[in-house]
Amino acid sequence: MAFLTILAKDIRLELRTRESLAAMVVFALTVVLLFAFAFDFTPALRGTFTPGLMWLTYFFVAVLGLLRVFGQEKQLEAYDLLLTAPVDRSLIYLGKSTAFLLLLLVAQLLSLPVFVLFLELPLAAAPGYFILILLVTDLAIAAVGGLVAGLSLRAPAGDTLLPIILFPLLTPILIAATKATSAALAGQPFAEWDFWIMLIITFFALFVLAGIFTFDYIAEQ
Amino acid sequence: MQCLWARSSGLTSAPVTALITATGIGKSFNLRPVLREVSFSLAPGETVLLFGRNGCGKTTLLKIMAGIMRPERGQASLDRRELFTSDCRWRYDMIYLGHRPSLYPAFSARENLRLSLRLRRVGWDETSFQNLLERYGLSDREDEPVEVYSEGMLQRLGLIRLELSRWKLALLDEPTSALDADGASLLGETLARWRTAGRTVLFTSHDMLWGAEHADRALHLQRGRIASELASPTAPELLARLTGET
Repeated sequence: MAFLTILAKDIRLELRTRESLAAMVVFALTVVLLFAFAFDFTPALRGTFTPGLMWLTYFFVAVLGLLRVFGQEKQLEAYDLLLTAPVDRSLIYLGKSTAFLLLLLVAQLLSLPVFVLFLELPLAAAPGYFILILLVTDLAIAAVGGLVAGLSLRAPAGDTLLPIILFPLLTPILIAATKATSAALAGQPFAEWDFWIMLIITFFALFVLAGIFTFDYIAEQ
Repeated sequence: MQCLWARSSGLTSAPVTALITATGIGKSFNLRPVLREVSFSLAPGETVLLFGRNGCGKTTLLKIMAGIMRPERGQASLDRRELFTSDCRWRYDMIYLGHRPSLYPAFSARENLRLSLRLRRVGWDETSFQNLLERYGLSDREDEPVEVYSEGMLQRLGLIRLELSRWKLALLDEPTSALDADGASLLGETLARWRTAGRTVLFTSHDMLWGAEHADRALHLQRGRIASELASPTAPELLARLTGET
């Protein structure tokens, strides 16, 4: 119940302002267009380069989304409303992380066609596997991001702190996602790159559990 | 019921039975202790002023009691339920109104209050909401985003939130700081109603005149401790304690 209330609150806030989504999509489009027109890649180079660029772009898109989804709690001390409510704090973590996950998925849905169009990301080669990689990676990003954003929300320079802490934690996930995406779109069998998916799932499981069990302490000043 | 105010504190006019009891609360920021060993208790239906100079730790103490900050040491219980644990049920009985009223700027008054009540599992009563809007002078503004509200209007909206919620103890941090004379008078009437209903209020204020007028008791926070307390305080007494601080 509280989980759904918090999730619905964040979705409604985003629908009301559309600030996060606009910033996330515009940033992704800018990066894609810049790389598409600034560099002249050979097709072979493009195959190895594009998945990495895509996930790097989505890392920064995720940071923008996290700053917004968690930053809106700072205005008028709204976060105190959640903290003083008779709600298990793990539900605050799960609710806000899920809201961020949905936001990230929508931003990706809107920007992926541009990756296909301008950077020739060969999605049609393995659409099912691509969706699997995208979902698993986004879940891991949301699990890690929600925890770190909750931590940085209470720090004096939290907005600066967020990407600094987040980047090293997300780097293994981004590397795994890039490797898995490259392999899947190159037509390699799943058994050859399933290790990367397992790695991402492991990160997801670890951070979700850490979030559930530690958010009560993290949330308080 | 909880025991009387700790005898070791040496303070008098203790509540006979306590709704909330705090013992030895301590908190530091950057290794500088703000609260050293704060102990107090409040009886049901009491309205208590927490006063002291700027930076003495009033807001910190209220935030700790509300569960927003975690103390480094100390214990507290509300209605025999232990505070500062991961069990969130004690927060049903407590509500907090800070300097800023904990609202989402993009939401309207109605949306903010509905959200707050839903989180506290309190049903929505449109008639009460409309009556309270009328009483607090916010009629016809309920569907505007609160980002266009003045500080005083936000504080009034925070008070409506308290009126609509169920609780036994309210922690109010400078509730009159942005209110005009009419708003402060309205809050005074509300405090009297809450007292009659057996609800307990702990509030901070720098307006000693207003605070003395509405408090049954005053706790003087000094050097991280409750240095003294006054039953039925008067403004000159409160000011004398403040100016007597060294």
